Parts: sequence; C-alpha cells; structure tokens
Amino acid sequence: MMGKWLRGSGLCVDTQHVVGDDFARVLAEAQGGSEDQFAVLWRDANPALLRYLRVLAPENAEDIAAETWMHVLRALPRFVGDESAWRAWLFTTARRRLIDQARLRKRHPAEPLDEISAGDLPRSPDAEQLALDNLATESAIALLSRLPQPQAEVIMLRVVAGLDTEAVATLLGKSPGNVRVMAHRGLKKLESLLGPAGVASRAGVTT
Amino acid sequence: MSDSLPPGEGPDPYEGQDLEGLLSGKDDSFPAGLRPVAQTLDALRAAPMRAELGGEAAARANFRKIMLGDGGGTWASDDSGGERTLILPVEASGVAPRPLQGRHRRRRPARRGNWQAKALAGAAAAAVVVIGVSALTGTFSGSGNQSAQSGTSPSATSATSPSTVPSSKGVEGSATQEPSRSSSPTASEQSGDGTVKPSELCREYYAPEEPLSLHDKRARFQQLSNLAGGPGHVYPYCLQFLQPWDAGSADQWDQGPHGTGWPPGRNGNGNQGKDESGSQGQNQQ
Repeated sequence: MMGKWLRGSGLCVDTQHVVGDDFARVLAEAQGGSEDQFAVLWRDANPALLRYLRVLAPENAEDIAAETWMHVLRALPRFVGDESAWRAWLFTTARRRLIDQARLRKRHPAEPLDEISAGDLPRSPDAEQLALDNLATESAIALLSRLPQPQAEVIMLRVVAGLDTEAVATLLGKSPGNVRVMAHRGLKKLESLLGPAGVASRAGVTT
Repeated sequence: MSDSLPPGEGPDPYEGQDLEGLLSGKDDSFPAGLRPVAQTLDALRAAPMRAELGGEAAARANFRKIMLGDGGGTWASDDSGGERTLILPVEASGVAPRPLQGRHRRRRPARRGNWQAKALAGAAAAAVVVIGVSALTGTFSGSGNQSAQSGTSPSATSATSPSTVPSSKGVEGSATQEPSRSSSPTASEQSGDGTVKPSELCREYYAPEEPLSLHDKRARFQQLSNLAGGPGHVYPYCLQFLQPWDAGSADQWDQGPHGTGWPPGRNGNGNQGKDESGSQGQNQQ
C-alpha cells in the first residue's frame, strides 16, 4: 500500500527511507559541506518531521521544525550512524525542542481556543487549499491529534519516522513492551474514531 | 503504565502481529476490520505535500550559514506564509573575528598586568603595615609627650599577648634593686606626699605583689600622674624605677583611645586584667 499516491506531477513515494542505500555517501558529503546533499537529507526527513510535530504541537510545528534543523545542523559534523540512527537522532532532537516549547508555553500561556480541536484548525493561510490537495494526509493528522498524546506519539514515531519499537522505546525512555501497549491502544482508539469508513473515504480519496 | 492491555476492553480481536504489520507498513495481510486504520496510517506515510517542502530554501540558507560560515540573516521558517522568525545574522566571518581576536590580545596582557598590580599592591600594603608597626613602636617609646585621658579608656587596645607579659610573681624577690639612675628619684620623692616613695608607688602600680583594687589603682595612678606631670608621663617616669620585667616593654602597653602612654590594666600575677575603667580588654588575646 506504500507509494500509491500521486501528488501533483511527481510520482509519490512514502515518507520513509528515501535516501536508502546512498545514505552513508549523502551524509558524508553533507557533513563535508555539500548543500545539495544536505537538501536530500532535508527533503527526506522534513515532511515526516512536520507531520510528527503537527500531531503533537499543531500551533507551532513549523517553528519547532526549524529550530530542530538548526540544532541538527550545528551537530551534523559530529553525527555518526546509519539512516535509522539519523532519523532517531532527528526525532529525538525534535522531541526535546517540543518539550522546551511546551515548557515555554506553560510559563507564558496563549489565549485558549475552546471548543475547537487543535487538529481541525487551519495551520497556515493557505491551509484550505492544502487541505483540498492533501485531504487524506491532513485528515489523518487531524485524527491522530485526537488520540491521547503518548499513543499518538508512539504511532507517529513508528509510522512516520519509521523507527522500530526498540528505537521508539529508547527515544521515549520506556520499555519496548510499554511502547507496544501504547501503540496498540492508539490503534484501537483510532479504529473507534474512524468507524467503518476510514480516512480515505472521509477525504474522498480511494485507494 | 503496565505492559498489558487493561481489562474490561473485551477480547482483542486482532493479533499483535496484525498491529505490528500496520505500524511497520510492510505487511498488508491484516484483517479487513483494520482497513480504515491502515488507510489512515498510509495517509500519514504518504508522499510530501508542497507545504512540507516549502522551507528548503531557508534550510539551505541555514546550512550555508552554519556549516559554511556564510553571513546574513535568514528566515528560519519556510516561505509558506506561516509565522516567520528572523534569525539575526552572525558577524561576518571576514570582519568579526579580527576585533574579537584583538580584544583577546588586549585582554590577556591586561590580566597579567592586573596580577602584577595586585602583587605590588599587596607588597605595598605589607610594607605600610610593617612601617606602621615600627612607627607606632617608636612613637610609643617616646610617648611621654602625648596625653591620655584618665578614666576614659573603655578598653585596652594593646596588642599585648599574655604570654609576652612577664609575671611579676615569677621575678618576685629579685627585682628589689632600684635603678641606679641619679636623675629624678630624690626630687620625685621630695615632691611626693612624703609618705610613699615614687619608686614604691610605681612598683605598687605596675608590679604589685598583690592585686590592687580599682580604687587603689586609680589613686596610685593619680599620684603618679601628679608626680610625673601628667598621665602620659607616668610610664616614662616609672620606667627609671622599674626593672624591665616589672614594667614590660613599651609595645606591650595600651595605646588607649585617646593617646599613647595609658598603662595597661594588669593584675598582680602579670595577667591582663581590667583596665582603668574596669572594662575587660578586648584584644588582649
């Protein structure tokens, strides 16, 4: 079921493991100062990063993503690891920035937006147009936003970041069994939210 | 959170393997009931949207700035119209480091200079202290011309250490010979009240065989003051009658709050006791 979407004029692939076997070379060249190779890494990871952040912090996902990349760039020359480690590092960095932002917002709370689910809010001026283009993905993100945050985070790290259970457990500081339980609970909750129609039907997209 | 699913949710209709297959996206042999969930997860994995790649230019700029040291401010957020955060430009690599290095060059010698200045200041302070002590000692030796106010000294301020004050009892019986100076004893004896010799008065005051009461000490000091020509002249006056171990050295004496020459309050056994006003010495230890 992966890679079946067609968006715009390009052939669609999923958000996981775009770099693949070339990762070591791409990373090395990016660490050596190749802007183009860094762009390959960025294009590979940024959509997943944004989706993860939009589920957990819809109001300021873009800001946190930008901050995450700044941190990643500063430490990029020292990074050692394969693509899985790269993704784990990237999402660990993002999660730390997310926690920092949450603390900051706790100290300086914004005006409450009651009665409106955060996942249903437009996130940019052209959100409506984006929603028309990407109803399924937007709907999926909105649905995940309605899950309890620990469950949503586990699912996003498993599905979007492409991390396995052990990596997610390490990232969250929990046991693999705990991660599995949270993931399964989240999936069951998602199933109950979806009903029999599913997100594709909700978005008017068929597979 | 426990590792098992909570009770009361009924039997789990799906195997763990089914759910793992959903999460990994590598196994599509899940039950039909999970198809909506699978579609949702596929939507999450779907190819990037335009907005998600709109910030590439900013990311490249940040890359140039951080990795290549490129200057200039960049917008951290993307160009999609969301909130944008201006990252202030770092100092240009060609210009900024020079003043910075220059500042460091200037600072390091300054630190050494400060260290030397502090050492010099410390040495100068030590020299001042030594000179001051020497001057005070010399002044005290010739302090007969300075007056001290009788009965107004609240406390002894001498730097005398008890261990340096010789005990009069320790030398009792050996200090019986009066100084053989011929200058003033006769005159002093004649100018006194005729009942007590000045030498005895001095000895009773400075080296009494038995501790004197405060009243007696004051009376004797008054007499000695009259004989010597003032309170500040008592010690030089008595010095000619006393053995060194009776009177102690001049620097053992109380400088007093009103001038030098005020005798220390000493009791008969040579220990530091109460001064003329009866207050306990504060810095005798």
